[in-house]
Amino acid sequence: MNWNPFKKKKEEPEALDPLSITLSDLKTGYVLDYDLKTWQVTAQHYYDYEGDRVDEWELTCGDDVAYLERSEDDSITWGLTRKIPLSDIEGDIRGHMRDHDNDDPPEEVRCQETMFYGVSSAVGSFYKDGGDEGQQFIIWNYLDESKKHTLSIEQWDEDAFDAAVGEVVEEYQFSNILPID
Amino acid sequence: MSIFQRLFNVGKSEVHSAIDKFEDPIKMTEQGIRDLKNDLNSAMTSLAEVKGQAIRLRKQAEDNKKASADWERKAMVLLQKAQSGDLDAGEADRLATEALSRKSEADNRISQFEQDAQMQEDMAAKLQSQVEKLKSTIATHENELISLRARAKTAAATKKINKQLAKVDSSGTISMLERMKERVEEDESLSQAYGEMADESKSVDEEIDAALSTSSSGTDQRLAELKAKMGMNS
Repeated sequence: MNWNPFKKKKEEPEALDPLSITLSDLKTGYVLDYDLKTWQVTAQHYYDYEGDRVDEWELTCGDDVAYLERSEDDSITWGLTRKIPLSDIEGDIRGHMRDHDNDDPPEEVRCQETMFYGVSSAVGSFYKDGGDEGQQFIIWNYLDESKKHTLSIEQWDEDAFDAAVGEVVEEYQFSNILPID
Repeated sequence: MSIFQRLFNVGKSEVHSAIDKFEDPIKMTEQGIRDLKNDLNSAMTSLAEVKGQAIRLRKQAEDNKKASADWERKAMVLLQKAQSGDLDAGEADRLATEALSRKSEADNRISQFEQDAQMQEDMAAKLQSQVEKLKSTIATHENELISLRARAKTAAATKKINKQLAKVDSSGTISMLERMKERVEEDESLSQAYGEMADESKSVDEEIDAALSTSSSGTDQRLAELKAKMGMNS
């Protein structure tokens, strides 16, 4: 018989206060409202940029898929991005990278009728679904003149590129966060 | 009423009274709020599931819309190929009919998914209003709990002070102080009385002295005048 009256009861994790759920508490399956639409969190990943962690939640609403990113420096910054085909960026990005040994991206790019200017680049690791094994990639970040809209170009392999456009968002723009067991 | 019923009622009232004494209003309110929050958590989870289901059904409806459009496009391409002679007309008709049948199936699914999604959205709207109501109730009770805590704290402090005062009084300190005060007042009254008496005797003496002094000087003068009138030397 395994029953032991002196065995310390296993402490249950503290229940989430339903009145104080914030964006940082999001988990796969959670539902929330943004931009007059209801979205469901369909995946949760994170990036590591030499020790700086960026969390990412995949939000789905019908056919629309957006990525909510949370980075913390002196304060928490939120961004919402959507993937775009590389062809949306004017010019031959692949050719440019090949010609410059994959380490010298264009300083300015035009995408969806907006000019974007290079601001930073980094080497990062992507942890799908918060897994243990990271996938390395290089990212080049651009901002438009208003500094509110972003463009990023990611290189995952010799000839594998992803691009995304996004904007800086505020936590108050998201509401009605609903948890799931 | 039978004697047993009465005894039972007495026992019941005693048990209620004992339980009432154990009830701490703050702890009971906190527990009540915790229970309400658990209910809210369950309601929010159900709402998330219903909304999630509606999102998935809308997505399936969208996917079928794409499939429907794709089957129609394929049927058109088949007919165009037959028209241009690239495909046998009979075969093109058969395949196009098959494609249109698939399109029809997709259209049926669209209608079913949209109907189901609408049902889930209607249910979500009802659940949402219940969740909002529960949130508002909890917020009200949380605010009341803050007020209750403050009132209980004040009541406890007052109770403590009153208890201490009651203890002090029972040990006789306050009555002793009152006695001491009365004694001082008595002493004061006594000293005042003596003072008044002293004042009174002093004034009588002074009056007599003054009278004597006045009458003496007057007599002396009148005696001197008389002696002068009689031609006698003083």
